[in-house]
Amino acid sequence: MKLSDLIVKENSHNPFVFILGIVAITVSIATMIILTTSLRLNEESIKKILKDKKHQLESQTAIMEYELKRIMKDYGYNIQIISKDLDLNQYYNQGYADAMMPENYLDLILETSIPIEHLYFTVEGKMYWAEANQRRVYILGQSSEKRGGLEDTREAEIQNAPPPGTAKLGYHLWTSLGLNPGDRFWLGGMSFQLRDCEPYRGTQKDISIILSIEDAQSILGTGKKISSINAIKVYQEDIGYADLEKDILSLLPEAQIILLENKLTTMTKSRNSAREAGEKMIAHETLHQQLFLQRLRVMNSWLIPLLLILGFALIAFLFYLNNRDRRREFALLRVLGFSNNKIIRIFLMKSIFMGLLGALIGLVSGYIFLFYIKNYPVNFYSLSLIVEPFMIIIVLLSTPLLTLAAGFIPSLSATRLDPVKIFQEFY
Amino acid sequence: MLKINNISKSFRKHDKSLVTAIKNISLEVKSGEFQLVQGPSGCGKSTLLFAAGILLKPDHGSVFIDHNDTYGMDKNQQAFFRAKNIGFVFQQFHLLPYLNARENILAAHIPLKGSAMNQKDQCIRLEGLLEKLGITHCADQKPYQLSIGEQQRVAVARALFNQPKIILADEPTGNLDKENALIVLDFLSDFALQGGAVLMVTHSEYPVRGVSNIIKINQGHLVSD
Repeated sequence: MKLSDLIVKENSHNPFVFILGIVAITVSIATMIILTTSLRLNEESIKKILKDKKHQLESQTAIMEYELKRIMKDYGYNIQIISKDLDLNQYYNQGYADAMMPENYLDLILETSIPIEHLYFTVEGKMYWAEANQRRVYILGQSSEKRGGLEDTREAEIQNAPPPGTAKLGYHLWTSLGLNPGDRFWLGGMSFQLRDCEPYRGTQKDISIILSIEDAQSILGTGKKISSINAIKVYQEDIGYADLEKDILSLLPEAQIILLENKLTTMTKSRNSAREAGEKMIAHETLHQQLFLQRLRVMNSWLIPLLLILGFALIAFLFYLNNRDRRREFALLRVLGFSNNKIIRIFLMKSIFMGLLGALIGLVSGYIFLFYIKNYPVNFYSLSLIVEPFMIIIVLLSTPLLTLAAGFIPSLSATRLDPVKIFQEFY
Repeated sequence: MLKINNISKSFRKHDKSLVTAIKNISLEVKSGEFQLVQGPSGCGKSTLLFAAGILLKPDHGSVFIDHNDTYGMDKNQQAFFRAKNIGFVFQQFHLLPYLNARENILAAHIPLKGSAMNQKDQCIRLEGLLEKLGITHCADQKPYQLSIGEQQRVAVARALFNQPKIILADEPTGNLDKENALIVLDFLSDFALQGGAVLMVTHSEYPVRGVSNIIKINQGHLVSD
């Protein structure tokens, strides 16, 4: 006969305390497992959803990027290079660039390997046309296209600059002066033949005189200076606009660059907008899910300790009741020569056994319940998803310790029972 | 074997007044002696027995068993000493309800684990006691399945199992009919005749074989011995 036999016999004789204790631990542990594992599964599921959404956004962005690259070959960037000294507010307000840059800037660009489909430059300014009643006109000197490192496959020139000694007149000028193509007129003491009459545009162009670059420089007195360089369809594979801008500005330190609107910039903007909208949506979704998880965590942080405390308090209470009912028995054990240590061991061995058994049943029932509510198929993958070995170890180690603590105080009081008083109660 | 030197014990009642249960009692029970303690109810007989059984520390005086000062030991030593040297028999039997007769007897041996008999010797001794006390037929029955007499015989067997030096019996025949009472008293007498010491508190008027001394107590005082 051993002490453990005594414990087993007592439990099987009076299983109420034992079973109720096991139920209390089982419910506590199973609930803890369900709550913590559900939270973890929710976290993992949300992480996966967000990751999928991010991946989806990246895929869509990559498709758009690919489309952009493809389109880029057809459209490229259209850029205008102007003097760094030009105030952009004033430029957009007056409609022409009156700050000048050295003409050799063009040569510097031509010497680079940047592929530009169309490249030309302008000289611009306003003046009073003395020979036409001092009317204010806009002078635009246009160069023909400059082609460095030319290829045979290039597009036809888009620029139709007038040759020296010829001019194009804006709609208001040729109509008010009654001039027709082939007529001659004077400007700044120079004679020009009207080459083209421009159609009505409703812009500053209607009062413009378009000359060759040399004639415009002479009339405006700028010398070998230019107002702007226009690079149309600038495209270099794998180089974005920012890098392109950087390359050009390192070449032309006194210049600034304006990106002109074209289909490519519009698409880029819409790509960026779509990406921003997607990122905002994901950020919003992330925040929403984090708040949801936070609420769950807060709930768990209260509920789990509460359940555990209740479970173990119930065990302590059951031990207390058990102790009260077994006073006579403990008194007898003391009379028979059971030391305090042995009497404490009766409680503690029972506590540990209850803790271990309750933890095992709680773990199994908690995981079975999770399988049921999550509707997972029973296979190795689902098991690895739901069951956490670390959690099992923690529960199996900590629960017997907690039940041990719950049983300790009642065990101490059992050792303090006075057998004389107890036995006298039965006489 | 048992030497009680001038012990007194008082208790405080609920109204805080002090009641003297036993006062300046001295006695000696030698090996082979069977002594009875008699007196009216509440005279301090049980207090004397519990003090002799190292369960109730006297306010002063000493209790020696086999030349050992029992109240000079620490709690664990007392428990072990009690398990090894003292057998108790009570009027109420005090059997553990979840153990059968055989297990109830063997339970007395649990505190001696590590310093006593092996399992085989335990079995031999157990079967001998069961046979001697005539309870072999009900050895596997739980206390509630046993008759009153069988229950007390199991209690006696439990007291004898560790082969104690002394048996302290508190009204062991109080709940028994004459036939069973005489059986129990016979066993206690045999124990004394075989060299053990018995101190028995009793009101019983059944004849007891081999009684060496009757101690009378009244109001906590030794009246005669």
